[in-house]
Amino acid sequence: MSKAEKVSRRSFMKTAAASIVGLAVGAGIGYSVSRMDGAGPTETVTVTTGTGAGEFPFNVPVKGDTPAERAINAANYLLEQNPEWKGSELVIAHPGGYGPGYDAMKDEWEQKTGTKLVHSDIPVNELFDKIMVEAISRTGGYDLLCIQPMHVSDLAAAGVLYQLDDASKWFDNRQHGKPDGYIYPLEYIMPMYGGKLWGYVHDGDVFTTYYNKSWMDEPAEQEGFETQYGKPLTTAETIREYLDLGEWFTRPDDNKWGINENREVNRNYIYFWAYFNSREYPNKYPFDDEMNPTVTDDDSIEVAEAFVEAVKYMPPGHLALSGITTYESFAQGLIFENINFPSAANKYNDEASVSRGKWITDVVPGWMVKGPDGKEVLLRRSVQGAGWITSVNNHSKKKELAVAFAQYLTDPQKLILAHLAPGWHDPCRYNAVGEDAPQELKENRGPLLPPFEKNASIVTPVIAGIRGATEYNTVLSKNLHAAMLEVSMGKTPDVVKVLEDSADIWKEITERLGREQQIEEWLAYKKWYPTVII
Amino acid sequence: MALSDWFRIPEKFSTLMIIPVQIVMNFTAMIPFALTWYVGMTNWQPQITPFFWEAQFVGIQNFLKIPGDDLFVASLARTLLIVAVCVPVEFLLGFGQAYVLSRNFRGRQAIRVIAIVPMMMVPIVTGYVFYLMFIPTGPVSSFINLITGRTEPILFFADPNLALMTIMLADIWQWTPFIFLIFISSILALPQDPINAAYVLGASRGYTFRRVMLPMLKTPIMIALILRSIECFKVMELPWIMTQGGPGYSTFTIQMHLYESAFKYLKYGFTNAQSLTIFITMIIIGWYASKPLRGG
Repeated sequence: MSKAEKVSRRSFMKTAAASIVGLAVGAGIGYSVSRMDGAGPTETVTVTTGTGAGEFPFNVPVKGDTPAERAINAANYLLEQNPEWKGSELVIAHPGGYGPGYDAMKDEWEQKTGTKLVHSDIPVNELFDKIMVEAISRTGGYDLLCIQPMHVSDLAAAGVLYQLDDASKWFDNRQHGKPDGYIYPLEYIMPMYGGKLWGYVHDGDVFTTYYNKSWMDEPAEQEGFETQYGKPLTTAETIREYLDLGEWFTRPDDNKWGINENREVNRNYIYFWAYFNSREYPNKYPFDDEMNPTVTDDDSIEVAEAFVEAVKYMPPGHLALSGITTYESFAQGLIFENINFPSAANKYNDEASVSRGKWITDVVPGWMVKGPDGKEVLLRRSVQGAGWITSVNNHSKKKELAVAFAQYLTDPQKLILAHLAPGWHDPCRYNAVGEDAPQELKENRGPLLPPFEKNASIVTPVIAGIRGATEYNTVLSKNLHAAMLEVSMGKTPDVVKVLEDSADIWKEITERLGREQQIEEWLAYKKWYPTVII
Repeated sequence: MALSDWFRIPEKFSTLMIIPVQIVMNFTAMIPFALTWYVGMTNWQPQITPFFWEAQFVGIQNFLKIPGDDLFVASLARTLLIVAVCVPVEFLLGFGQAYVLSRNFRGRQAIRVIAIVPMMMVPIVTGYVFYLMFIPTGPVSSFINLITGRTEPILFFADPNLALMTIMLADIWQWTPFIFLIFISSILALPQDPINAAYVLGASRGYTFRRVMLPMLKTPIMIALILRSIECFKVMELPWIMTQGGPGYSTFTIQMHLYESAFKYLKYGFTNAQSLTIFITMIIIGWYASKPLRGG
């Protein structure tokens, strides 16, 4: 091998000069590109000034009897003002499974405005990550964003979302009250952050409890259960009763199991909050008013122990399942009960389902707690599982048109079409539940609808409405999953440590994001939790 | 000096030719790298300050916090375990395969092509295929039950150790051909004279392999081990698709941790510092590991 030739000073200086010139030219090109129209960052927007407030052209004539008509008329007006938008597309980023619902609604809009809806399907676990990149890249590649309530705070604070308060009032999109407004308090706990509106709800995801009625009605089961537990075999009012039912119907030799909730590693926090939020009157909040975690007290430990105990009554390997695969065992008639998403009814009511016609739903069970007058009272709280809202990308190149389309997509009658379509759009307005729901929807969703409004009236959020919500929830979820794993392997997990570890990380998150502002946001959001007892 | 000199004199022309590449590299690599360092020394989170230049400069604080991040340390240890298991196995299998297939026999070309097919698959697809193979109702569980007489399905993804094992198996299956490719070409390029001379002088096959062939393969061995270790360290697609890092944290690799920390938890500043720490560490390790190659 030859010796490396010595580099002369001249050669070195030439190479260094070429590098410096290249660096300077490269930096210059980069800077120039960043200043080009549409390529660089847009104006800074902050929550306090109100993102988008006043930007929507409020001289748009308001014409139309329904929110959808008003949206279409406004869109056509906007298209006249912006002819380059005619024949264009509006891109919506949404999780897999939502496409059919949007497709069911879009026809009238596309016919009357000439603009097309384009789907951008994203796996649900990656949706937030991909949308959040817009905070940095600001490409406007998505016009509309289908996001979860727990995403709202971070996306809004980072300037990704367009504020919709004024547009909502302008269009009168039936935000509140019967006969077709949003079921209270969904319109508050889902799309609000910092006191502002950031999206229109289109999927309530109000949890309910499913029961295998055919098992429940068997006389032998009723007699045996009552003998063992000293109470009749009926739907559970408390979490303890829920677990007793799960225990009673767990018979591995017969491949029958009590419970099949979705306990996947990144999303089981949803189910934890279903157990947790009713542990104290009026609600067991995850934080106190100083943003200190409350998940390490005795009540929380009891909740966590109940939560991991349920794993004993689940089929083997259930912890490794995710998404709709967790619904399969109930649909196959192997499970007695589960607290679950309303969209599970689509699977359970499917013609191929063994459980079709054999299940009922009821209000989510709760805990006996000290009531407002000091006496013991049954407190039940449902949870708003994931929940989806249609928001507008603040960096969209056709923002105003996107606002009109978001308005259209959440019209009360249009949403019925989405609820009827395959996919995961679940009821969120009064006109889709109870006695006044369309007959077709009642048949489509089966026994889901009767207690839906009741569950919705006591619905509580997962951690939402504050920055870092995704992180608070996901950290807890992963720690709980590790504990549940130990139960599935026949060990006894240290739930106290799980909760303490989670609380420690939560404290770090709070400090990192700024305690003062977190407290302010928490107090502003917490007031939307329900206080009713049903 | 005339302008035309820059095009006529080879030395000057070569300097001129560097400039376009330099521009592209600076634009796509050097400037982002410099920004990474800067952001790593801030506490930038987009939901606090939309722009990184508005974030608070914290100096080396982020770097000092790294050892205290238990999740980072655990993910790193887990990833090193994957490397420590997968790379030697891939090396032995790939080298063995190359040694056997370096001989002359009918159909050797076709078999050599088939041997590298796994490497050509997209890692996400490999992950999904292995996921389907190892689910409770999948063929692996069924086959094991068939030959052992078990009746209950094996829950590979519900057991932390088995889940990690499936990730490793998928990695080994996909990347053994990479080692094979390096060595099949190296072995075929070996000068035959020393090898034939050894045989003529009565050396056994094993002795010839150990004392004649292996020393000549020192460079490709180092290259294969270094390259494969670096790539294995970056494993993410397989656990992402197969287990999402679960059950619990048992298959959560360092890449997944960095992704989650940056894109889910939006800790851009701190994650940049963590990434740079790993980057520098890998450079140092790589520098020392490749010393025999530079020794000449």
